[in-house]
Amino acid sequence: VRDPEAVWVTGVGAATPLGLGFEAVAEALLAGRSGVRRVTHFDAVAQPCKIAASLGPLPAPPGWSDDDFAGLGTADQLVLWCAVAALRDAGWWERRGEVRVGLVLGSGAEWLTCWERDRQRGGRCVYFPLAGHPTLSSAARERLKISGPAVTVAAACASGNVALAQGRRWVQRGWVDVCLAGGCDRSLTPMGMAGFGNLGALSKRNDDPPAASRPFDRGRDGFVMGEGGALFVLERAGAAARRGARAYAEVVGYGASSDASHVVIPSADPDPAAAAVRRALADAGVNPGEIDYINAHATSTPVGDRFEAGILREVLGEEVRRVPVSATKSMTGHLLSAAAAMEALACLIALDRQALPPTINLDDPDPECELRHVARQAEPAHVRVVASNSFGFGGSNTCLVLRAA
Amino acid sequence: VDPTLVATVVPEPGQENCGIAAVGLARATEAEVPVLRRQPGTLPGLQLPHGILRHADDQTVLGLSALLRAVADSGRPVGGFSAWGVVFAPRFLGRAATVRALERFDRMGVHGMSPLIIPHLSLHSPAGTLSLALGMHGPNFGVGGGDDHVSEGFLAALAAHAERCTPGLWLVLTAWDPELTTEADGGGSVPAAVHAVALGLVAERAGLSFGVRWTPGSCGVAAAPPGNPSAARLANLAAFLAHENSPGWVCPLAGGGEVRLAARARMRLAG
Repeated sequence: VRDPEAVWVTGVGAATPLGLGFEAVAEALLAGRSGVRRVTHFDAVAQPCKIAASLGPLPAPPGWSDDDFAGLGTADQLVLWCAVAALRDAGWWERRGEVRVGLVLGSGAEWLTCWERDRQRGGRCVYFPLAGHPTLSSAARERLKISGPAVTVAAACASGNVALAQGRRWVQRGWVDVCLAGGCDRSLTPMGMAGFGNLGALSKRNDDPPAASRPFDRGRDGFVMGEGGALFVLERAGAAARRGARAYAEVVGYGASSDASHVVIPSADPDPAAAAVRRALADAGVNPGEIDYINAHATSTPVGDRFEAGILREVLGEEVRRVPVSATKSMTGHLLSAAAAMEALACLIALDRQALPPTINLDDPDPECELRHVARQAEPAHVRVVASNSFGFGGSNTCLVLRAA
Repeated sequence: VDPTLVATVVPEPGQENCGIAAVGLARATEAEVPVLRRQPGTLPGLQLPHGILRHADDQTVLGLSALLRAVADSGRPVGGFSAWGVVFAPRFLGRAATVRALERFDRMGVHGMSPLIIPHLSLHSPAGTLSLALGMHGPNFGVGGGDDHVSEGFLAALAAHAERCTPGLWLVLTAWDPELTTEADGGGSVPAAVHAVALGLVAERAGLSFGVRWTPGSCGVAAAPPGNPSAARLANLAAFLAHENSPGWVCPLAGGGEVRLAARARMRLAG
């Protein structure tokens, strides 16, 4: 162990449109499989966009009866499933009472979704919130019987990176021994889809769902909503190594900034976002020449992808011709406040499999998005240092850097 | 406002501290919010982006008003915060607007859903709006959103502050107290008001301080914090910050810890 105080990822719990768990998601991502399909779990006929990367029913995690689990809200199910899977994967589930376990959950539109779903079931929670649900993070803390603090954080589509940065600090400062951190999002509801659809943000390629999410392609016309989540177990490297834990990666760098430009549209000025990426690299102590892979935020919107390509060119300089970049939203859709966590997972997969997941549907690269793309199919690679960009509404820019442990 | 809000806290074992360099408080009834929406505050050199609060939630409006008061309290020019970040912890943000949106969606379907709901009523929204209002390029994010928003806000802000990537960070806490009632639930007998507290967090322990203290060795399943509704906690916090003779303010954290603000002492900041 180079640095016993470093923070390692030692467990993964993931429920995504591409499958459940690290292995299933890895197989699908590296095979270039799309999770996008027509929406069938509600009537989407009147929606401008009728496709999404939806999440199927989740099985009850060990320790919960099917009936008890089915009685929970879908977002509660998702958080619980990911948390239990992550703690089991890390070897902490049975021993979680021996340590202080915290939870930092990236989740963006929790109440909008909760109130909408409650009303669909005939509930009146929106009128009496104090008699209603606790937050997802508080409820999960109680259900998981973990003893550390639990917090919800939101930076729109960058929420998962904020959560991972918070979790890293909690562990480093000894607030918790073990921290669950990541993001979960189930905003794929009639109102959620109408909101993004009426904003003009979604693809209208309804006749060909798997081809609809096409970041950096000249034919891109908006993003495709997705849902799902990923939670990671973070702990100190020294302690993790002593108990023989599997180290997926070390969380080595984080940077964040704000555009202060517009509540929705990314800034045309690349400097604030570039500052976030530079800050993350400086925090990690790596230079652009050491980066082996970048998972781009690239949502498949005409403006956003072009701006991100400009940011990467500015930060990477000459290295932009060498550093492989892909946008896995081409397969997963945009998991919104869980997107950064999903893409951190894609980075862990790249480190584990020594292979880069592709940007599928990149048939006609936009010359304004010229980068060293991993187009259409996965590539074998020597991967030691990876970075994941996540930007969000509200002008939030974040970058997370992970390194092989 | 002269910078006399100085107290120092001697760090205790298991405690982490952060200085508070500026404080701003705001409160408005439902009827008063529209006035603040048009003019949340005035400061020399302040020029808010046109229409920035037009679609914002009421808690965002009050949060900005409190923030502007805190800027005034800091004694620094409004342009001096361009590298600062914002952590905003509201409670049940956008509930009244969501009631209207749900009813409109019931009547009109997809076409009745405003595209402004998600950008302005999600948990991230107030922090983004405040960073835009003052042109601040440090990180911004939302925290909490539910009944524990105050303690969650302090904890997340302290962790964000530990990144040491900004010279300072605004922590803004807001809530309706009592909760706003709507026509559908018959209205309430007590007039609702939005409360907002803005705190300017800095590394130095000059000024009012807050700390997070963990109970040594606590693990196992900790009990939930004792019954102490968050609205009362925010009101208590505002009262503590507004009155010099308050003995202190403590907010329990789930997980065997607490957030503690030091009692204010009348000491003048050097310089």
